[in-house]
Amino acid sequence: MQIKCLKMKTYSRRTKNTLHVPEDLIIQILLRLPVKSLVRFNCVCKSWLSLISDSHFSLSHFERAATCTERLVFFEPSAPEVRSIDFNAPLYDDSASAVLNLNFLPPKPNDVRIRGSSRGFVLLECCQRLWM
Amino acid sequence: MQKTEGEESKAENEEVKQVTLMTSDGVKMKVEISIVYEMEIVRSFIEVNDADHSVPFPLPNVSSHTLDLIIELVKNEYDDEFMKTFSHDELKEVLVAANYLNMKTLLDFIATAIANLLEKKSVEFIRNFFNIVNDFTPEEEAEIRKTNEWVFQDLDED
Repeated sequence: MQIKCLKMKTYSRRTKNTLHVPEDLIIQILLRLPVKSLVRFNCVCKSWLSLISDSHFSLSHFERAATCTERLVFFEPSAPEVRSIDFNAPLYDDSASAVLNLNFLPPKPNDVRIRGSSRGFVLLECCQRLWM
Repeated sequence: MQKTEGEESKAENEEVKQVTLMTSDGVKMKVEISIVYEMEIVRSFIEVNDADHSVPFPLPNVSSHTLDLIIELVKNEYDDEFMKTFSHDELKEVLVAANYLNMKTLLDFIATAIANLLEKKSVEFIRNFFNIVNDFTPEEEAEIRKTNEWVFQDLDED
């Protein structure tokens, strides 16, 4: 038994990239990739295409991404723009602080209130109306 | 660390409590118990059986080289710089071993590290990394690529 193991080890050391990674571990890696990479990796092989297109996988990927980000949205009537800030992003990440486009609101809203938020959606109250 | 009377009287009365692990290539390695406790598969066995720690615990799926890498990673508190010295095979070996040993922190760390490595790589790089055979016809692959051409831009060199 021991001799067999030793032989296997020599073999795996000599040849490169022969180690088999089980599918559940490949899924763990794919879950941590951004959507752009996943769309590209659709054409790696047929099993990856069906895996990445699978609705359970998309849901798990979304759930993971949704729990990993914490953003602060800050409204200040006197500020020229509304920004959303990601506290977990690295310093050099340009998307850490993003300007929000609120063109759908009435012009010059001076009384915007955040009523609630869930999974990236923010419910706003402005001019006695609710906005998403 | 507090010691019980029984352990005091043991012949090998070390400063730091250790557990002996037997790797797949037959190497006996003494590992600090704080590191062993991250390995759920070993921890559950030790805790339930209150086993004699001098008897090697067999790890038939982990080589001594991989166990060395894992011990260094845990000792260095999962240092990114140290991990960047790993070969592709070493990354995959640690991934598979972390899963087998049920080391949750290490598994998350190494899976994230591999994802970061692959994020901007080409499809060809991925196939080579995981040793995957492309089973699409050239026409099928071209068709999939055509639908989302933007995702093939701004890639790292392989």
